[in-house]
Amino acid sequence: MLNIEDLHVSYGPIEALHGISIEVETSEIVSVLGSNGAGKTTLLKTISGILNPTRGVITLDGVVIGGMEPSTVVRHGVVHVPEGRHIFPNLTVQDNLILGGYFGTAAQNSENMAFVLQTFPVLRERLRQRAGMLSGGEQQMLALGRGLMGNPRVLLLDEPSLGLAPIVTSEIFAIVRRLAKEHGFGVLLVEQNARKALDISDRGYVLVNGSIELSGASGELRENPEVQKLYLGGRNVDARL
Amino acid sequence: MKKYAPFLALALALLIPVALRQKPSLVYYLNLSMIYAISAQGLNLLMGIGGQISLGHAAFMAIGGYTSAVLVTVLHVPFGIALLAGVALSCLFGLVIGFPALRLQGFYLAIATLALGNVVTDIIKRLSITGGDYGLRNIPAPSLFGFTFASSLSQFYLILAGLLLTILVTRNFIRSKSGMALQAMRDSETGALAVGINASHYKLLAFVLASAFAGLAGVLYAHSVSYLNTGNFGLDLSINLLAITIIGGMGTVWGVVLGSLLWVFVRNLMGTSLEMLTGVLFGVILLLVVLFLPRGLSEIGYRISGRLRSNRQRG
Amino acid sequence: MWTLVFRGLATGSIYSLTAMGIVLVLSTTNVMNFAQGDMGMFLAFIAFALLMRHVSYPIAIVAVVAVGLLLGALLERGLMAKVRKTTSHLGMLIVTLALTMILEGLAGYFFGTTPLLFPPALQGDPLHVFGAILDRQDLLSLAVAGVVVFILFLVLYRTKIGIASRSLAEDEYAAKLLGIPVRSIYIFIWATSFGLAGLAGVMVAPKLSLEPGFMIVIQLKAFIAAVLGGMNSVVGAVVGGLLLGVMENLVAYYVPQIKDSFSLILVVIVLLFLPEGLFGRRAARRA
Repeated sequence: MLNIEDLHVSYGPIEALHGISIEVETSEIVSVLGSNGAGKTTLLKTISGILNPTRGVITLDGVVIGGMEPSTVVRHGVVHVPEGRHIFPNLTVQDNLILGGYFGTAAQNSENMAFVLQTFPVLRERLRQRAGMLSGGEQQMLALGRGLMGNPRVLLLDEPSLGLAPIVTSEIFAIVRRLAKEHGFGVLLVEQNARKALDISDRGYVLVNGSIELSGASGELRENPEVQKLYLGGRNVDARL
Repeated sequence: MKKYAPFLALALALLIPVALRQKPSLVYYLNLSMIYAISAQGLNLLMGIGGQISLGHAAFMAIGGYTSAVLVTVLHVPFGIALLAGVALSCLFGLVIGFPALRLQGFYLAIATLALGNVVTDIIKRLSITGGDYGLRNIPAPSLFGFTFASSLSQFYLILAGLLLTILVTRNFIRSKSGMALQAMRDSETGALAVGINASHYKLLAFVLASAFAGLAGVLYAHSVSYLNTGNFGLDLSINLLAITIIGGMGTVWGVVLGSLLWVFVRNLMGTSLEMLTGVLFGVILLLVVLFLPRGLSEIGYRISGRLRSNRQRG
Repeated sequence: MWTLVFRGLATGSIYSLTAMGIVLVLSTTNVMNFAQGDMGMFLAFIAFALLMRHVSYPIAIVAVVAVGLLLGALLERGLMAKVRKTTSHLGMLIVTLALTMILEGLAGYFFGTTPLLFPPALQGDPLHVFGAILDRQDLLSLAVAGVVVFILFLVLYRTKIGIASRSLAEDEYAAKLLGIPVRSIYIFIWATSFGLAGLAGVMVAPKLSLEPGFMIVIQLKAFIAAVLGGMNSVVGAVVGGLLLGVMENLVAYYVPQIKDSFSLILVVIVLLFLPEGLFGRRAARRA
């Protein structure tokens, strides 16, 4: 569904991504692991249209979306939920969600809104509150819900676990997985929390200094000693016990 | 060849009043240009080097001019002392205004300087010594060491001396430690702090120097134009000084001379019927400069000299 | 005293209209528009020209507001968008200063610099209500401002484009990611802002004489009102304007010596000690 081929992205004279190729299929959750500065956010920003690639192609079901404006990318169904959530603190929860459905018809929006509120009941409770008053986990749900309002086919999630308690993270990840499997979204998940990411994803890529070093099924990656050493704390805890 | 260029230029400049002695009005306009250049130089230091902004710069000219004018006309103080007093008082106000300016940035500094500039001219207008709405007339010509600079021609040399002084100070300041510090701060305040440069110190210095130049310009203005009215030192002039600085080339040493020559001569070439269009023309030029020639007219000079140099190397 | 308050509210409503325009542009596009006042002046001159050709007053006002909307849209699309690519925010401030030079020059050229008398919208004796003397033009200003503010808030809080504008003001990056058409919103904002300028100009012109510089002081007061209210808050702009108007009038009556400098000194104090103003939420230090 989402196809990235030989993507090169530069900041001025400095190249940040050196020929990345990634695929995300329907109902598939794909994680991208890597340390800070490896280029994970750059990757997502390029897909969503904030940055332009210097080389390479990004397509969604064959339609080229690389190099397009963010508004075009969103309309094609690729929604970027940014790192740190970036909800609008002084707008109400409802306003935030409405903005997610900026391009939808009234009918689509009310349908999507009902769906989002059903998936995240806490948002219904807080519908008219200022978004800034929500807790971290609730804000992440709002950010996700806002993304869902746009009728996405692919969700780009940037570090959704950032700043959240483990229980909340698990809850959110579970919802993401359920949504992907039941509704056919593709999910490209960028995460520092490698363990959780590999737990819910089907496949993964490991990004090191702008290049993909490893890729494969999540199960395989979890067993991979390199991955364990660098991202999983260096021990296969289950095996030891 | 290049080393002798400034001396050549200076010699030519000194001959200008002689060459134009049949047209003293032309010299008068040149004098005005130089006065505004002196004032704009202060703004250039403040904005181009110091990275600050001021929309009240004309007020410093008013302070310098009125101080000197009042001292000479009412208290019969000799011009030389009045000049120093005008500059000093201007500096003092520069310091006073510099302090609050330290805590403000960008837009907010613009508003604050706008407001303070207005306060200053309001207060000046209110003092009865200054002639209120009617202004101060018949301000005597400058006289130093017994010699009176009565004509535009003689005033030319006095004002030229002032201009050269400010240019020298600016050039040395840019290269000095303070100048470098300011430029570092202008480009990245956090970066500068990281290297241990104390911001406030240098920003205040920029304000004081800027007001000193403006004060000097004000004094020279008062005694060559012979008439002062607070209405002439309002937002209009402040904006025009800003335009002169930018059009000429912010951060350069000679930019303001180019800018003010352009302004004074365009204004007078337009004549009275098209007078209002000068503002339009100048505004359009400013727009074009911001859009296409961000380093101002000086950029044209650099490009020409650059091409000359490379041609010489090639030939 | 209530007369003073009422008159202060009337003047304040003009400040509010102008300040709203300034704050709308500043909070969404991060440009401090120093041409707000002069655009109002220019539009007032156009209204004057229309009135002199016996166009009816209401039509003249509507026409001028429409021209303001159009000019704002054109300006953003034709000029600001280009400038934004190559200059800093301070550079854009200077672009607005260049605009003031152009607008004042054009007004002076076409209409001369001798002050002209702008006819008031409502003739007739002032009304006496509860012991206060209410001038009719002032009443009109207040009423018009009230309606406009109401409509504007309706748009900002209940329409998609209004909510999107506010979101741009909060977090441009997130808004972009959602695909919100940033450039269209900029056009909407600038158009609205200049429309407000036209309205303010036409409402206040009868009280002052019409000349190229007549809105300069109003604009300065509008900036002060915006600072008072918090430069990122449209609510603040409205409240700040009204508050400033009332305070000024009371000061002018009871302490006439500082009448001219009052607001100027007030703004410096506010900038130094309460930079967020009454309703603002971000630090005033950010350029």
